Amino acid sequence: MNKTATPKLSLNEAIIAHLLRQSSPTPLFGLELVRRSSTGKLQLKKGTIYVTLERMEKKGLVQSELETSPPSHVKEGDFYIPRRMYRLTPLGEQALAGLEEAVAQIPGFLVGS
Amino acid sequence: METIDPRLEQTLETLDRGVLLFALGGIVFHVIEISLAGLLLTAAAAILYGLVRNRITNLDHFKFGSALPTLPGVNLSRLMLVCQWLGNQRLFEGLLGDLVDPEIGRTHTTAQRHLREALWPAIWNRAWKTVLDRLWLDRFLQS
Repeated sequence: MNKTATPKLSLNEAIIAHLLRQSSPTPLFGLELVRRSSTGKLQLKKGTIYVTLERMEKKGLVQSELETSPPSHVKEGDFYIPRRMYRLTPLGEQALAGLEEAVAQIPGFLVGS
Repeated sequence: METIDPRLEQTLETLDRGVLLFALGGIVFHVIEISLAGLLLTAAAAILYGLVRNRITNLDHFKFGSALPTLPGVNLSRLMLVCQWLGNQRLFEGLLGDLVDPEIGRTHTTAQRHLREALWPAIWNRAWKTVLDRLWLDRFLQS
């Protein structure tokens, strides 16, 4: 049987995947992901977010594209470069669903043991 | 994502692994010999190799290489150089993009603080992951 293995997510990857799924179909940039995670107990760090996003992109869990127009607060003459926006891929959604399924089984194991 | 020729990447990876294994061997040998100078020289040579190798392979992969935007009070070409050393184009793009944020890019002090706070953990994170990856221990990567 030719079965493609779904990549496993690390903790940071799972937080990112969760936030991207929440915001879907709107893509998010790195700093926005850090900000959105800061309300919870599991927080992303601005020093590691881009390294993690790069790895997730290499694994096919997220895809990115450059912003097409500047945000409304940017005025003429302000510093601006297009930001890279990330969205979850079907593989990323599958990996997150797999993780959630595995986590949901934990209480059953604990009660049963 | 821009990539280098897969054959070149494979060859460089083999070279990296060879250098890293010899460096680790050298460090262990100098620890046994209790030679601090030898230990430091071996580590410095390995780090220098890694930095230069990343810089060479990433010379053309940084989109803003020729027309880097300017932000008064912030040395963006130095940021680009560090990111080239780290071999991480996404980090460079991401940090530049962060400066578009009104809170961060408001003054050069806030921009510099943000870059400093983000860059140091990124350097350690990247170095640690590269070592684990090159030693076939990437399954232990957790963040």
